[in-house]
Amino acid sequence: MYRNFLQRINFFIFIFIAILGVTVQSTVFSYFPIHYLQPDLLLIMCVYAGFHRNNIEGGIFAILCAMIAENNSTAAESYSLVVYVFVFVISKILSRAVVVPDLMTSTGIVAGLSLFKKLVLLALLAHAGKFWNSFESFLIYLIPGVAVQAALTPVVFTWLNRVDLRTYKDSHADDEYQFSNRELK
Amino acid sequence: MLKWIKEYRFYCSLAVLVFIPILSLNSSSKAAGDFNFLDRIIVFVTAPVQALVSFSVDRTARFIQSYVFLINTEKELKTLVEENRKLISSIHNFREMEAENKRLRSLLQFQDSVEGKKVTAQVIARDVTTEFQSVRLNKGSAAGLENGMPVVTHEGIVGRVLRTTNDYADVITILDNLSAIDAIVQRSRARGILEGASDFSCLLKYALRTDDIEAGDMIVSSGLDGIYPKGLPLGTVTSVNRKSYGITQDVEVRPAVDFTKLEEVLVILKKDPLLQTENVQKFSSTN
Repeated sequence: MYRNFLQRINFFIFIFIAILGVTVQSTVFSYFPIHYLQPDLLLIMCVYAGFHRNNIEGGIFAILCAMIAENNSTAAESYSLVVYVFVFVISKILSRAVVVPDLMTSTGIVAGLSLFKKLVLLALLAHAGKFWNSFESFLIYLIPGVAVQAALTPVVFTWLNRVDLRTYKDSHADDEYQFSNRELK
Repeated sequence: MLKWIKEYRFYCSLAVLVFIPILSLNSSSKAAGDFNFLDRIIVFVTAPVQALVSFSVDRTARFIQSYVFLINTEKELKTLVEENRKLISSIHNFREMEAENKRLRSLLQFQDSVEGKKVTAQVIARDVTTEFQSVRLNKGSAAGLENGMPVVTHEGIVGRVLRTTNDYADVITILDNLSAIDAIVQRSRARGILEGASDFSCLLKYALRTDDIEAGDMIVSSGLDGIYPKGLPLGTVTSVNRKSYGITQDVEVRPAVDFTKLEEVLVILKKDPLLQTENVQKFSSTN
């Protein structure tokens, strides 16, 4: 009963963490000397969802993350939606295609997807005819930005894993995976 | 002799007993410094013991005293540390208040220089994405804020209100990639469009190659975009890249407002820029 309850509220706990993350990001992280280097907690959470949630739950989570981000940003409309949903989808595909045994690999994937996010931005700016405006700063801060993001990934992943364990959430909640597990048992 | 002593041992012992007080009497009557042989032996034997006892007592007393003293000291130390913390905290508060006072005073002076209704607001958060530069204010439509209203500080233009709720408003700053402001060079009156480029800089675009623009020139708003009042500072030219060909030149501008230290801003409620123009000219002349 208690276990069931915890499993059910896990999703809402994740949403709460996302809101908390955005609050921290927009207030505490904004004191970073270089704004461009602040980490994107939502992106890391979407990657985590890609590896540990099924399509429906993870998808809804990614969309909600995008909505939270758009609410706290003046980014072009649907920019966050495109980024976070794509990040989730790519993570989901990667979780099927490759085996992710450790935090190191996850960190690498987050770094890659962080790069993807920056490229989406460049595409957006190119569409708005402002590609060259921020291209220089984009190049300068690209690697440090991705490095900051990667450095934070193991910590966030460990914490999210802990939340999953505490709430008795199957860390491999993919339906098919569960199904195959049940079959094996 | 021994036989005799044994026979009269009773008396002998009495004699010894009598002799001791006599000795004592003798030692108390003598002048200082004249230790006799017996005295010296006694001193030799007793002095070290005395010294030892005295030392022990002294140390014990000191230990007890210092222990008791330490207990008091510890209490006193705790009180002092607590007091020190409170004082440091007060000093920090006073400094913070002093800085805030200074900022608000500048803002007030600036407020007087621009006519029309204005609302002071505080920056409570920044854009959650790293690529876009906006800030959230603690005042919204309830305080009279509307989309498109200019947001300024005493240093210059911050940006414009993009969207509002009842109690909050999001402001797109001039650093944002998607921001564009019609601007002029204060010295030569050359025109261009100021666009956001990075965390620290903007670009003055579409300024003709033949225009006279130099590093150090002040860029101000032209007022032609219908949002910002004319003549408000936007930034200073940091570099000019004028090629030998082409129509325009590349001008990099450092914003007049220090966005890393942005805390209080002023939202100009009046939307008609023509009404504000003459007032801002007054501000420009005062600076």
